[in-house]
Amino acid sequence: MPKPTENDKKTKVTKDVTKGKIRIGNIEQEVDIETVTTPNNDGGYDTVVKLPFCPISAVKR
Amino acid sequence: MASGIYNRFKANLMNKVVDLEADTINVALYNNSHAFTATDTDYTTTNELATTGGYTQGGQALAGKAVTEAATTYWDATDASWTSATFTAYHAVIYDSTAGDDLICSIDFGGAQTVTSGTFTIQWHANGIISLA
Repeated sequence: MPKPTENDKKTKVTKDVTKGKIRIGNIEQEVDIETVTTPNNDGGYDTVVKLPFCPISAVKR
Repeated sequence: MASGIYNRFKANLMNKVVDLEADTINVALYNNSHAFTATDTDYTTTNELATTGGYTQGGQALAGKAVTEAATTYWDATDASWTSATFTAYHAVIYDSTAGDDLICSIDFGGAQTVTSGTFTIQWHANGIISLA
C-alpha cells in the first residue's frame, strides 16, 4: 500500500499504518500506529494519530 | 526507535512523587533526532519542535486525566490536539510538570506525522495511555 502523498491528504481522507515499537524492559514489541488525515476548509488537512498504550509491565494484547 | 516508560516515572510511582490525576501532566512533541532513553530523567527542549506553526515548546497540559482501577489498571486522558497547525512530529513525550518536569513516557509515532493548516490530534489508545497489570 503506497504512502499517501501531501496532495492525497489535501484532497481525500487517507489512512496509513506504520509500525512502531514499545520497549518493556529489554523486550521490544511491535505495534501498529494508524494515521488518518482529512481535508479541511483551509486548504490543508487535519491529522489524527491513533496510538497504542505504553504498558509498564507486559500485558497480553 | 521505540516507545517506553522512563525509569524515573517507575521510581516516582513507588516513592509517591507522582499523582497522575492531580498533577499537571504535559505532552510535548519531538523531531526525528529524539530517541527514547530509559535513564533520562527530565523534560528537555533538545529535539523538541520549535515554537512555530501552531506548536509551543513545553507542549500542552493533558485534560481529563483519570485512573481506572481494575485487574489491568490504566491511566487515560482526553485526546491532545493542536489547532492551526503546520508541523511534522515523530515522537510525543509525557512529563510531570508538577513533579519538577520528571519524565513519564516517550511514544514513537513510527515515522513522520504531518499536519498542514489543520488540527493535529493524538488519539490515546482505548485501553489508556499507560496500563499496569
